[in-house]
Amino acid sequence: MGMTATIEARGLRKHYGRTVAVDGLSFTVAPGQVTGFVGPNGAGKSTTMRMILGLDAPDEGTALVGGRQYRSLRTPLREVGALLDAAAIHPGRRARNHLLWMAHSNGLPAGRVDEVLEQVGLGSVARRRAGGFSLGMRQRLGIAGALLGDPPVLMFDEPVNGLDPEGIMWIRGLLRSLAAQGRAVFVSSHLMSELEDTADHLIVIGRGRLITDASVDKLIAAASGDRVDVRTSRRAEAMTVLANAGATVAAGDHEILTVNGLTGERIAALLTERGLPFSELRQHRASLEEAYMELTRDAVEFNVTSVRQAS
Amino acid sequence: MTTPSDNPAATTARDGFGQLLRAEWTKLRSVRSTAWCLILAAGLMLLISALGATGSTTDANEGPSRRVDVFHFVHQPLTGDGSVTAHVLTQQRTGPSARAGLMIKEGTEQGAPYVSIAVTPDRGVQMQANFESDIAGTASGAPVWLRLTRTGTSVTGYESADGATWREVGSVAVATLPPTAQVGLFVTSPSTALRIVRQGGNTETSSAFEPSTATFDSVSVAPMSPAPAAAWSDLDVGKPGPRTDGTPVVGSSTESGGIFTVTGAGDIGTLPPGGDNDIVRDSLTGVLIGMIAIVVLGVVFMTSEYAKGVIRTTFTVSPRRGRVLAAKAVVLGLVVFAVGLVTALAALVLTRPIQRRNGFEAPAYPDPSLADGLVLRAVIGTALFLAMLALFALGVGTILRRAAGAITLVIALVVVPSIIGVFLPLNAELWLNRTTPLAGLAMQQTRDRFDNAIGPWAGFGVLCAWAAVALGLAYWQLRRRDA
Ligand SMILES: Nc1ncnc2c1ncn2[C@@H]1O[C@H](COP(=O)(O)OP(=O)(O)O)[C@@H](O)[C@H]1O
Ligand SMILES: [Mg+2]
Repeated sequence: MGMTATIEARGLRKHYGRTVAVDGLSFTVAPGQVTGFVGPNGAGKSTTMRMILGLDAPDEGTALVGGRQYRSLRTPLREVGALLDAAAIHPGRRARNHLLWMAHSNGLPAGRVDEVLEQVGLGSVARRRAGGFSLGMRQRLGIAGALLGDPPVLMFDEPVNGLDPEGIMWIRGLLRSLAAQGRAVFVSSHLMSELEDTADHLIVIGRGRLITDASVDKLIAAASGDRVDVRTSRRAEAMTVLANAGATVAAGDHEILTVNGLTGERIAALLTERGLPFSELRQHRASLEEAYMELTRDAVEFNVTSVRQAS
Repeated sequence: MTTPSDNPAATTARDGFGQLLRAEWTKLRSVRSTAWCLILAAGLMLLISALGATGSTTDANEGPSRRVDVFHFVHQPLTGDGSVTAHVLTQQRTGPSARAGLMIKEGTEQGAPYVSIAVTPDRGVQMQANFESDIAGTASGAPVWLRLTRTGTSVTGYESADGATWREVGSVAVATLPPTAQVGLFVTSPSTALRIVRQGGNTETSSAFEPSTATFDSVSVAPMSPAPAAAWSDLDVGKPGPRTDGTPVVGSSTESGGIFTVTGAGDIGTLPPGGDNDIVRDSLTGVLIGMIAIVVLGVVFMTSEYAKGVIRTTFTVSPRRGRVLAAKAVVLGLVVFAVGLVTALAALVLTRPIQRRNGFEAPAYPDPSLADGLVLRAVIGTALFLAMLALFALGVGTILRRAAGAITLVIALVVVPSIIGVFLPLNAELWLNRTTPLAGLAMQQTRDRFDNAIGPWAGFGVLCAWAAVALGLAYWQLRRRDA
């Protein structure tokens, strides 16, 4: 544990028939933070996770957990907790028994089962059959299974999928607290917005390839660029002045202009010089969703290395 | 803030096969289908066994005397004391107990008291009187010299390698021997095969005979008090059954230059009581239907994990897949064995009163006892059969991953032969019962019967081979394929 409590993918490649699901993917998941794993449906997130867990054999490359091949782990629940598919539960088995067999297989005490059931809020339905569980309850049961061995590395595949807002809030809180405890938390989603305010770091993939691997702060800064938002009641005149000074100006909602190519100080000076009033002038901050749209829109054009160098 | 290194589970976590067994046992016991399959299997086994017992009756204890007295006899009268001597030159081996030798008999009608001495191909020289009391000689087979000497009502048998030095085999008193008795050569050959007539699903069986031919020379009858030389006559005492192809067997004898050639078939003696029904196997016959539920249990134990993707959880928490399969096999095998054993015992106890009511009682059919090794083997063998069948099903389920396909395949291999078998020619049925996993049912045999396809342990070995191949393939596939 400690420094080796990470996930490392090195040159992972996997194809199914003629579909190349994962194509030369390398990344590292660091401890103590939530790493989002983002990409549209079919990008290869689940396949990557299955390869990390030794379920699918990569065609090329290796995946290490805590510096070791997953298949060489003897009590994996203590090393990695994973939730791949919340529906993967025998419908006729009671929730507690589902966790109990997992605990037995790794020699964990039965008391842990009751602890994690309480932790995910399923204590009262522990003896109900999982077949009658809602999707949200199944997600919680799956997460309970991942927490059983109190592992330093956690992996969740689309844990927010199908949850109500309350459940989403709960999961976000859980992910943050797990990372705050020093664990490596690797969580996938096909929606960047789901990871807003949750992820510290993002690994973005598309068609099995790495698009970007950067901290959330750096990504937003890159997407924000050097744009400045200006609020003025005389938009038409302001646009002319700023355009003549060499900026690219776009009209936004109401009285907002988004200016590209001039610093805030220069804009303020120009507008003051012409006697044009402005009530607000601030550096534009892109949302994570915007950053993502930009990344996936021109994935080829986007310069991965520049982001990396920036970080 | 706690750190993962405070891991409370870390100190207690262990990694042993015992843990895997516990995990698989928890899986097995925590779904309802397990109990259903086991209850269904046990229930069907008992029900079908009871129905079978109800539908089967016998008059074995009311039948005619179990004495048999069928042979070819070349004879002449001997009045008063005297002896008969012959040198058996050759004996055709139609079976281990074919007999060629000498006899003194009250008359030529079936059942008349007698004393005989004869050589057999595999059991040496045997002296026999009045359908019982076998006395063994020392010679191993033809050629051999034999002699019977009458003194009053006592008859003594001798054997000799050279006709010069004689050894006494034994002496028997026959109180009813009349002053003039018939003496001479006899040949017989007990049935070693069955004649089976199959029509539709109905099978009739009877003993089939193959006559044995023996040659004798130096044949002499020596009365103590001189008497005129008598002529030889010959006949079949009793009527032997037909050959396997149904043609009748007729005994014969010829003499040429002092060499007698005698051909005959049949048997002389008292047959043990009872028909040849295997009542222990009959008591356990319900396993043929009950096993379907066990097949389902074995298949579903694995395929239910594939159905919803639980298998990924299984291999995530236990990445060593071969050990998972092994743990599943051990748990499944032990559970099915335990349930099979209890059910087999219950079937024996439950069906016995029904069998007794239908005529299957002592002396022909004494109560089976677990102290009898064959009965014990049948009961334990039934449980072993079910357990091994479950493992075979587990292997097929693992290979195919889908319950429907795997159950269909196993049923096709196991149940279908048991149903269509009786409509096939016997040889085809026996072949199926020898080669399909059904061969394991041979463990239930407690008697030698015509429809025993294979020995008990050999049959179980065939089933084990099926299970081993299925599990071996399953193991290989598990390791090779993505989960
Ligand atoms: N077991 C499989 N067999 C065949 N194709 C698969 C399999 N798993 C994934 N794929 C294909 O690989 C690609 C990546 O899938 P996946 O890893 O599930 O993506 P994501 O989780 O990012 O939505 C998809 O085109 C998918 O159809
Ligand atoms: Mg996916």
